[in-house]
Amino acid sequence: MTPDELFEQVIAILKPYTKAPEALAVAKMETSILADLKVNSARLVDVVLEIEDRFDIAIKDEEADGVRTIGDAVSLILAHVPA
Amino acid sequence: MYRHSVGNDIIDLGEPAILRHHRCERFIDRVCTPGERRALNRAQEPKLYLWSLFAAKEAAFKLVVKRLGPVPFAHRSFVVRDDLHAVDYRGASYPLRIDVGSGWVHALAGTGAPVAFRVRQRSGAQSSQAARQLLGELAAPILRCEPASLCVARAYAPEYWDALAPPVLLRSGEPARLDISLSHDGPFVAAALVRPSDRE
Repeated sequence: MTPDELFEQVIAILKPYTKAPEALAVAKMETSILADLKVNSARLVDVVLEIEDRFDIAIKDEEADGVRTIGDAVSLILAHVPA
Repeated sequence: MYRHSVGNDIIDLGEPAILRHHRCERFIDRVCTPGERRALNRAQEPKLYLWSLFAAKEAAFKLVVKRLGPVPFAHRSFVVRDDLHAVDYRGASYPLRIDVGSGWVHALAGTGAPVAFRVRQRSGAQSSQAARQLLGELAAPILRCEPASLCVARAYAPEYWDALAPPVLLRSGEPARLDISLSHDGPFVAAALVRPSDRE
């Protein structure tokens, strides 16, 4: 999977959890999941679980803590599921 | 750093997305320690207990970053006592207060000093703006000043998750020298502060 393909998949995962759909529509790799997309911390746990399910991977707490942007999520997935 | 700090967190219990999380094993595993999980299983109101735990951990995290700097956040590393009266983190224990209102639960973690807090359902204003306004209303009579003379600032700090340092209360543009914490979720906003008689 390419980073661009993963980007689209992460956008799809985030869609039900964002409180700022207008920001999601113009999101880039550097878009902050919490600050820009207004995904709160409880929903962020849901997002991590969704990523685990969709890519059949296990994400450690310290890895989850490092996910600030969409690009961070893409990099994290790539680290578990090489392109 | 002030002598005493406070962290708060409010959860909108009416949010449809969280209605069933207290039955979601994976969510509970991700958030709770084994001991917290046992306490959750014994709880008479598991949904309320789970979100009390969650709010407690978030509140304690907000407090801890002001004491220790931007530490990594993993919910399971903040351990809430069964009676919800304290949160333990890295060998330190922080007193905890949980309040429940109509549709919300609020957690307040502190360092032992008296604190003041207020929760409100916002009307119209954006959440962060409404929380700051609430803080002004809470702080003004305590500081014996006009709410208009108070404002909240967050300095640029790239080491924090949102590139902003914890909020600081300014009075007429100068630090008011008392610690504050703000939270919002859904229609609810909350503000907390360490009472100035106990500030450094």
